[in-house]
Amino acid sequence: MDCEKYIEQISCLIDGELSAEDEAGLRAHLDACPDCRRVYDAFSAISDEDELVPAPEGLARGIMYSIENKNSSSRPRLFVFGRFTAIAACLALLIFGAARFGLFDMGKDSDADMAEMTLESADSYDADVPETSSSGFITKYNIDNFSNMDLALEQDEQVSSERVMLFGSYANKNCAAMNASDPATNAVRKLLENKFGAGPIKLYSGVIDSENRMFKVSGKREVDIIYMLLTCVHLQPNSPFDESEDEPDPDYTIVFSDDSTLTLWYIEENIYCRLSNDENYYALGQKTEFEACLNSMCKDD
Amino acid sequence: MTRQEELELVTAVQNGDSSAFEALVLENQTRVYNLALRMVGNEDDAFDMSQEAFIKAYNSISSFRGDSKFSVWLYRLTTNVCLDFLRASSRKAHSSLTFTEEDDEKEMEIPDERFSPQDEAERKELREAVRRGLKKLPADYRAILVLREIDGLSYEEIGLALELEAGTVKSRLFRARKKLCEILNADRNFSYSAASNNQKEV
Repeated sequence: MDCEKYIEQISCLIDGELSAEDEAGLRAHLDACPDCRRVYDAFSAISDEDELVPAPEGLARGIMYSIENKNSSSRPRLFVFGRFTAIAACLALLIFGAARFGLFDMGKDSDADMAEMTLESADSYDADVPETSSSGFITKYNIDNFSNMDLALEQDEQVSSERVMLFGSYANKNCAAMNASDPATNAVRKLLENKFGAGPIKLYSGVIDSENRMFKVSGKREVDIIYMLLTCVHLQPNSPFDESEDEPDPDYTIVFSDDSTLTLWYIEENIYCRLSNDENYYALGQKTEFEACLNSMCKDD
Repeated sequence: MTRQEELELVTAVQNGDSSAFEALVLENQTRVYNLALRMVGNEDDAFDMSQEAFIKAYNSISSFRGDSKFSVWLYRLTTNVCLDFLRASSRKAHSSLTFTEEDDEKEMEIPDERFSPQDEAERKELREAVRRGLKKLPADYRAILVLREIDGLSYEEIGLALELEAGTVKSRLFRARKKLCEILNADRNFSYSAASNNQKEV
């Protein structure tokens, strides 16, 4: 049978790449051979043009923003949280609680669990957070707090380049993607996307060691929330500290796997942050939210 | 946008006018995004891949000589970005990246009548089954099928985008379709008609 030859030609026919002569021969065969006719129908059916979805609104803006920002050395360098988190992903992210805050009661048992979970999270990187640890608390927490933050942010009328953050730098492509079906994370993402006109926020899986009051971050949501809470609203704000005195001890230090650090001070309800390159900013999140997040991680374990 | 307009914009960008790039982004973003979306299978990664492809295009625009349409050159960057991404995450992915010879030696199964949708509902179901099937297809098969469908590229243009000989384009497209039919034949969720189990081989 010549069917095999004809079947290959069917593919070309659909693509309009068959010579007139071959096409005539093939069409005659298709009329006579029901099996090949079915192949033709099937190949045509799977080539039926699917509609194109529109590109996301922020895409072009994000691209042009990246390009122009990169090419302009006169502008202040922007804080791109992603450059830390990209490196931190899959490796280690440590949050040290200052001793004076003895907030988190970490029992021996939970230490053992943590070691186990740490290994697990390295392997099943894209696995969903288990139901037991992705507490409803966090989900609810996201929505409630971010509607408040939205209001707070809206009061700032201008988003100048100094305040814009790049969310989800494309450099983070190897990191786990956000669970798009989760309404809470989506709500947060939408908010930040609208606000900053940048790409979607990515999630980063990190691990926080359990020794010495360090906290592991193993769930995507947890990392997301921490990330979100610690992103910036003001770069290089006025220092809240009295210049004539020594700076107070920080409340937390986050150590990324490349040894860069993010140091946090609670200034009343706000979180004042300093990166190891001496950039300072106020976090989007507040003290109570950040602690609630850390607390919930401990509860979940 | 005509080829001439496109070239003028490219030249402007090459001469340092980064704002001219925006018109090129706006002109091509939908197809680039859809290509990425079908390659990586979810919106978040597709966004990143599109962004990365455009930034790569911008950074290497001096190497674009106008041998092909700008879009074809962009598709090539996009496909490569997506394939790299899929490779990096293939450890956890369900689908394999490359086809195997064994697959291709098998004779074509005769597709059943589910491939001849009778009405809009059936067509919709078929489209969804194709989308599911695409995700299961090895990435290089997926790339060539999507490139073909997204912009109706000629074999020559697909060859430019994927750095393949025209003859290879032809046979790979055929094999990709054959494989996709096989996947759909085995898809139990794709069931609108009383599928005949016609598995006769030719």
